[in-house]
Amino acid sequence: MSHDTPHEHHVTPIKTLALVLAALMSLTVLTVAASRVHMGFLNVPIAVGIAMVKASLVVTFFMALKWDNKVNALVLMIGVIFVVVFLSFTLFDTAFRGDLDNVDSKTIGEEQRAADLLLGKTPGEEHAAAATAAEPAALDGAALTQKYLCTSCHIFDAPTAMVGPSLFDVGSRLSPEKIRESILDPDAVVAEGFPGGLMKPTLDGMGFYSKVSDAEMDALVNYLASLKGN
Amino acid sequence: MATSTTTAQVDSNHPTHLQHHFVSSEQQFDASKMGMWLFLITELLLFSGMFVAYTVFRVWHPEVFDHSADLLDWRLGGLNTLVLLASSFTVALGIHYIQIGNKKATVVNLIITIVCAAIFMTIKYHEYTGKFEHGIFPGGHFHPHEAFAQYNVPYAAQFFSVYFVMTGIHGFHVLVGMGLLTWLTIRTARGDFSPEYYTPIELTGLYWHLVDIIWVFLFPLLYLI
Repeated sequence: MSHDTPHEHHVTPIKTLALVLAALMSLTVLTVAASRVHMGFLNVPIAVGIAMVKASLVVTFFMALKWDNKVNALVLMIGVIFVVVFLSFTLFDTAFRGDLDNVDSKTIGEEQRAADLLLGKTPGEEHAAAATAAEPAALDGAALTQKYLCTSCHIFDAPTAMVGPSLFDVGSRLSPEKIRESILDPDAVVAEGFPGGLMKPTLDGMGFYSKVSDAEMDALVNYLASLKGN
Repeated sequence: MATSTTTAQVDSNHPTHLQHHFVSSEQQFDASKMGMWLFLITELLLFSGMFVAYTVFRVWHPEVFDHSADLLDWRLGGLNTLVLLASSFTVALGIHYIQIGNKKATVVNLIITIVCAAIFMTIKYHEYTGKFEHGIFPGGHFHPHEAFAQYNVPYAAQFFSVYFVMTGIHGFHVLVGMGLLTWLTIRTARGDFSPEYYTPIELTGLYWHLVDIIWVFLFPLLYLI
């Protein structure tokens, strides 16, 4: 009743396997070579594209999907479709959040009043409404050093150096004006033994100069000036 | 009536490997393979979770991810890629040989596959210890030493967390594969397999190729771009 003659399983010729291996190794060399040539944003799709070609070769020939029951290719395709959905729908959220994390200390009304004043206009009715509201509580300088990631490169409570010098006693070494300068123009005076040209690009990269408010800068400078090292 | 000289049989129509809920060896083999493909797509989605994490972080911080990749040695990564590709070739050869009944060549190729995997893990071990020596650890322990100060920027730690977790879980899969291949080598040498029945080798081969494919994506994304 059972049909058990040894049935024809497809035997992949060794020559085919060897040719596929040669192609895979060549594509590896190609992807390394392509990555050394700077093509801007194109480097990423080229690298991923070559990887996809290599994966297709493995799946088709080494995993023998070419000669296999089509249902297995269907199973793989379903898996791949779900990967694509997973990736693209996640990116629809995360890649388009824009400025959502840019939380300012000023309310929108305050910003508009400040803008009006700078433009030489008296704040219009709609902007003046909350002008008499109490000022927000004094900004916490220590919290600002966390917010703006100063703590990634500087230690504030011990003489330990990191990427940047310890700011544990900066208030007893630098005047408030010098402290302000060292934030706004870090390369004007670089601490001895530390690399220049690092802090400014880092701050630029995170948009610090456009995000930090005047009140926050004052709070930071005051806080740093209070760090006397004891 | 068909007879097989290498597989013990109760009777010629019912080889010992054939389980009772299957009509024929062919059906059993096809069912096993489809089951394996279903498992493989779950593995694909497992790694996809991490690839998505990488992509999200990379889109948010492209320069940091680009720059941090310079700390990974593409020559070691490239060598590991060639080693794994060769191991896929040898496991495919192993299957080829058992399909034509050459037990000895199957054993040789399975052993070479295991050796390639061991070379891969050795290179990865050297890469990891090199990173640890320079203070580059995953997650909260990321404290690069002075010489690498220029890489100690915000979000570089995330790059290395992704690197360690992805290559770590991939490396774990390589170790599991080595264990399976070792078991298969012993069974083949023992005479458990023949052209009529070699399903475990077929399925383990499929697993091994997927491990190779994952690395084919990991290498460019982590080391090259």
